[in-house]
Parts: sequence; C-alpha cells; structure tokens
Amino acid sequence: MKISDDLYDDLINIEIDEDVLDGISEVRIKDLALANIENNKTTNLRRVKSMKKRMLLVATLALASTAVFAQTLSHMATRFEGTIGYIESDITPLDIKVNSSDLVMTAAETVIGHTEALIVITLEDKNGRSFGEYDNISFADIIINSNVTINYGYTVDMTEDGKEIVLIIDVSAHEKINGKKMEVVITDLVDRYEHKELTGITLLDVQNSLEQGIPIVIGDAERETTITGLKYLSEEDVLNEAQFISEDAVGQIGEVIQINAISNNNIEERWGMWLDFIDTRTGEPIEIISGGSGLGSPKIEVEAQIKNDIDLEHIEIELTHRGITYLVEDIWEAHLDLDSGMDTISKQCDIAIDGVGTLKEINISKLGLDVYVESIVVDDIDDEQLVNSSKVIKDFLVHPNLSLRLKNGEMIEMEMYRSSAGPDYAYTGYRPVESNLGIAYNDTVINFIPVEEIESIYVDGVELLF
Amino acid sequence: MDDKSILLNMAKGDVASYEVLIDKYTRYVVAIIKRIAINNLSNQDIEEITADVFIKLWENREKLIADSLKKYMAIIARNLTLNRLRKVNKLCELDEEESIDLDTPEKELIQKEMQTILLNAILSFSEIDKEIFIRRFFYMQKITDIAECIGIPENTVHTKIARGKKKLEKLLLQRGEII
Repeated sequence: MKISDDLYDDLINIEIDEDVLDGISEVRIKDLALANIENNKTTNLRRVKSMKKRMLLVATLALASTAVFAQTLSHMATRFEGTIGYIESDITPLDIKVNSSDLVMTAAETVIGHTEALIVITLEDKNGRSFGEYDNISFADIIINSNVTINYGYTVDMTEDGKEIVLIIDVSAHEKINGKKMEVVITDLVDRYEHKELTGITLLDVQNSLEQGIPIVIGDAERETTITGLKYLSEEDVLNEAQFISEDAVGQIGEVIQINAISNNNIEERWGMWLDFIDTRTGEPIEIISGGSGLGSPKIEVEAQIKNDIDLEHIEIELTHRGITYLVEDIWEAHLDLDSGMDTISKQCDIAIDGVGTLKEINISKLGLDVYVESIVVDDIDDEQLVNSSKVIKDFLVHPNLSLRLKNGEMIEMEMYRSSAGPDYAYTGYRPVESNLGIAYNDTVINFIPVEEIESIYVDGVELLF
Repeated sequence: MDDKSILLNMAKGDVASYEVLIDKYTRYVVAIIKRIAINNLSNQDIEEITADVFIKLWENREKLIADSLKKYMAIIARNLTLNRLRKVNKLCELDEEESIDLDTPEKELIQKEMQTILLNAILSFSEIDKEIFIRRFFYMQKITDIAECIGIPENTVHTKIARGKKKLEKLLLQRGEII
C-alpha cells in the first residue's frame, strides 16, 4: 500500500486487477444508475425491489438445498478409536448446507460440554478424488459464528487413501455453550507450503554489517532476502505493548529487538516471508513478540525478545517462505442449535488466592473442567501492584495443582488448555493429562473425564467433595 | 471523450455522456469498494453502491471539476461503502476516542488541515504500521480482516495500533495539537 500526500491518493491511484469485475454485472450497475435518473426514482425503492427478489431467491435455494444429516451410526463412532461409547449419546449432528463443487461435506457432528465443544466434519469428493499427494492440506479460512463468544483451534487430517478429509475443531467459550447457536463456515481447500531455511547468519553478523553500512543477504537464490534494519525498541514501546500483546507479556519486560527485511524476489499474492531466531546453544527459537509480512508483500518486520545483546552471536536467523495453493474453491457450511449439551456438575466455592482473588465456581463435563476466578478489586491500585496481582492469579491458574479423585481412589491430574480473562475475572479450562477414557484420530487425542465417578476435587491442596 | 467534455455535457443534462462516464469508471469505483469492503459485501451490494456513486455524480453534475473527479468518486465510494458495511454490521466498532466522522465529502475536505498533520505523522510509521493504520481508521476495517489481509496475527495488529496511537498522540502533543 503506497501512501503519499493525501489519504485518498491510495484510492485514487488504486491498482485495478484484471478480474475486478468478476461476478459483477456492469449491465445492472448501468441499469440502476440510469433508471434512477431517467425515472426520477430513488435508489432505495429500486433497491428494496431487487433485494426482495434476491431474498426470495435465497429462501428458495435454502429450502431446496438444506439437507438434514441423518445416519444411524455417528461418524465419530465409525472413525475415531477409543471409548466412543462414553460419549455416543452426546453426539449431535449439524445441518449441512449443500455446496457447489464436487467436494462435499459428508458428515458434521458435535459433542458439547459446559464451555467447550468438539466438532468433527468430513469432506469427500463425489468422484473419489484423492488429495493424498498434498503434504499440508488445510482450509483457507474456518469461521465459527455463534451467539456466544468462542475461541477455537483445529486440525485437518486425511484418511490414508487421501479421499476423506477430516476437520476436527476444538471450541471453547467464555460462558455456557448449551442453548446457543453455532454456524461453521469453511472456505477453500488449500495446500499449505512452507520452506524453512537456517541461514547461518547470526544477529551479530547483521548488527556488524549494518553498522558498516553493508546490507546483508540471507536465504537461497529463490528466497534471497536483504536485512535492512536491526534496532532495539524503547522501554516505553515495550511497556505499551505489554498491555496489549498477551497475558504472557505482563511482567516480562525485557529488551525487544526489531528486524526489518525485504525479499529480493517477487512475492505472489497469498505468499509471505517470515523470520525466526534460533538460539544455537539450545536449538530453541527465541520468543517472537510480534511481526510478519504482508501477504504478497516483500517486506518483513519481526520483533523478538532478546534479553541480552551479548547473546546476538548465538542467535541465528531462520528464513521461512510460506503460502497456499488452492485445490478446491468453495464454501461449506453446517449449522446447529446447541440445545442439547451433556450433563454438567457444578460446585460453588470460596477459595482465596493469596488475597488477590477468589475461586468461585467449578464446572465439570466429560470434555473438561473449568474454573471461574474473581479478582479482588482494590481502589487506587498502582501499576506495579496490578501487574503483581495479575501475576499471582496467572500463576495460580497455570499451576493450580488441580486433580480429580475418583470413587475407586484413582487420581486424574488436570492441565490448563485455555484461559480467558476480563478486568476482574478469569475463566480457565482444564483437561486430563491422561485418562482411561478418550478417543483418538491420528495425532488428535481427546481425554474424557469420567464425570459419574468423581468423588472430590483437589484445588491447591484443598479437597472439595461432590 | 475526455473528463472535461464528459462533465461539460453532463452539466447540460446529456445522459449519453453520463453513460460514457459510467463505462469509463465502473472498474475504478468497483476496485475502491472492494478494497474497502474486502469480502464483506455481496456482488449485488457492490453493484448497488457503484450505481449510487454515479447517481451522486449526476445529482452534482453542475458542480463537478474534471481535475478532482477521481478524488470525488473515491470519497463518495468510500463513504457509501462504509455506510453499507455499517448497515450489515461488517464495520469495525471503534472506541469513542477512535471514532471518525463519516459526514459529507465536503466536510472531510474542510478537515484537510488536520488530516495533513495526521498523515505526516503516519508517514513516519513503518510500511506495515502505515498499512494497518490506514486500514483501521480510514477504511474502518475489522482487526480480523486486517490480520487476514496483511497475514499477521490479530494480536500483532492490536499491538501496532496501540503503538501507532501512542506515537500519534506524542507527535500531536509536541505540535500543540489535541487529538
């Protein structure tokens, strides 16, 4: 994006793609533009009419194309290994909307816990096409629309013959999911490409070279990239970032180094470059705070936490070139009214957390356990106290020494897998580290909690009986 | 036919010249709408907004100046697109302190002096920061859309906006301006 002496210059000098009018009717534009001046009608009247026509069309299509998925045996039961019987009665099918390409959604199912849900979706080509030749199959976009605020992660798998694509979505919410609506919208099947290259160039090499005014080039011929800048950000900038980046940044203010680079090759749209910094003494990557490269843009900017500049000689630059190739362009949709969740057990409590917060509520379903913590609001708290309080609560939530005791005396250790926080509360989810109950599909393993067998829960040494 | 002749004829009520203008600038207007809306509007919406841009030009045909025609179209297209996005709830919700006046193009031109001051400040940002700032505050795009377009995590967009705002605040305070 070029920005010159006027904000509108970017628009005035806009680069017009050859396909800018794809799907756009020039005839309709002209028709509308002329009709409203010739007949002295308002555009609103015209628009209402055309919108009504469109809405009717959409309604007709929806009636004709929405098919309710129904089968006697759930997809999870046939594909996942493990104790599927434990959640069989909790599996709910989603309504699948028919799509336009040959790749069709063949199943969409969910299991809903208290604040979490598992969604499994499968797609197959009508003509039996295999996607087995692609290494990193995925989707360009996956969106879950819901009337409850949610977070989600997903994995995309394939059957061995590459003919069935299995999408597993792990959903967590900030409140109870049951009774809400959910819509899964998947866009374009793609193959993700990623080329990583350890460059042999350290940050010290870069610093020395730039100090002498010599640009330093990294990467092989196809991905040749010039490092154009290296600087430490001011403490003020870093403090400012700490409020916005993530909880992890709070209380971890160190020195942040910013690297700028530019690719010497043409970067096609939907392709991008990335830099990582590897500590050669441990082989571990240095924490990246922010940064990136605009897709289709040759410019790269990355910020990383470098605590000590004497480490520069031990930090090597890794260059990544990544992008996507479109395999099937389409939109697949599935809808669900979440009116049937599994039973949940809840426990109200009042466990103090070092004078800065209180654990108020615990909810447990087969899919996970979540705790609700309120922080104690103190007037006139200064920034340092606020950071310390946040740290105490965070430490408690990450390492709460949380475990479940079953009726047979067996203990199940729990580990945190998600957390969301507001100004005076935190909602944190935990799952069993291991469990005798669970299902697996390739590398995706989900451990269940035997809810009916729970005798008590231990929170930081305190036992609460159910 | 050049823009000057088109506008001269349109001012006399010549619909044929108006059609020439539509043919000449449809691609330009659609490109602007698409740039601002990303994928948040249907093709039908884009067609209707494009038509409305031309209707606005027809309604103001006696006042148009050839030299600023493209800019006038850009302003109208941007404002109509933002209005439509607002109607379909695809526009980002800004904090009160971030809000931007979406009034008439004329009013925006009056605000040019302030705009120039802000623009000079934005020009001191890095390329990525500039793009994020313009997308957020000029195109009113959502953080998720900006992250998707630029190919960086949402948290990074938040960070860069926060940092950019801080820088702007500092620069304007140094100049004795108030945001």
